[in-house]
Amino acid sequence: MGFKQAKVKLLQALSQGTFLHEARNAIEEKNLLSTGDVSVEDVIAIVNRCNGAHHTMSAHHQVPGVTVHVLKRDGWYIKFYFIDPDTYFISVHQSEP
Amino acid sequence: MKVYKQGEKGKAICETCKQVVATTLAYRDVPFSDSPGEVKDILVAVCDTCDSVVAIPPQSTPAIKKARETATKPIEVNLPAPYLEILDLAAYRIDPKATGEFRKRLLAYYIHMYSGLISSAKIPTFISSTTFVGKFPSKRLSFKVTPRLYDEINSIIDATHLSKTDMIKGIVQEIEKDIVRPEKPKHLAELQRLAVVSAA
Repeated sequence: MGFKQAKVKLLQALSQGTFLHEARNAIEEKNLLSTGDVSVEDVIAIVNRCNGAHHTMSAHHQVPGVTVHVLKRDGWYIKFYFIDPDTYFISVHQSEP
Repeated sequence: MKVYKQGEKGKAICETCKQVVATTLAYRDVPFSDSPGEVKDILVAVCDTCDSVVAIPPQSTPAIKKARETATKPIEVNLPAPYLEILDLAAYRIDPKATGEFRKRLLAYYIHMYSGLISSAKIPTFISSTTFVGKFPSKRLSFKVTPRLYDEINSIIDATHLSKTDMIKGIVQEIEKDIVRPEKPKHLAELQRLAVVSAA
């Protein structure tokens, strides 16, 4: 799945609420969407400003069959993957200066 | 907007099982990754194989936000690199197996100690400690504390009239004097217990 399809799927998940936040037996505080420090609307606005140049992807470090997508835009860093029917956020935060 | 429900089945990556696993939504108490405290009874996805908490649905976010606001306050200071090296070295001397989290606990221990001095009307004298000469890269020390410790930090700042950064520098220098320099570090047994507990 390339950028265009990932963007459509991500925006759909955000607007329909069909997403979860990855957890490793703890609430990941680098995921500002899970902590409520940024809103779904904020993330939708950032994703809408992204094009292919802001997107990279790689295999998940533990499950290589899962593709991890990263969007970097305006100082924001959004990392996520899809396991149908849901979308999973690994992190949503601002890059360190 | 989808509403996830207890008992609902799904799939997610489990870091413990290192694979995509079947999950069930259930209510659990979940700790924060970088701060003290936890959120009680939030809906989470639990691994059907190992019972780890592997994912959190968005409807748990308001409870997480509320718990974080009441449980923690951020402390951020930029320090010359040697101060963080001293803090790490002190943590290492106390317990070579200490986690990165322990340097924050060590600072908290000293903050609590100095705050206790202030409440018995003794103002800490660490302000006149020696400083490092030369130019060093600056590093950020960032952590979150409970409201109680936050108040203790402010009580030291008020009593010493120091900036937050200078107060932390002063405390690090006290840690150097107590733990890094002596042959036998001060408060060793107590701090070793704290290191074990904070890694638990």
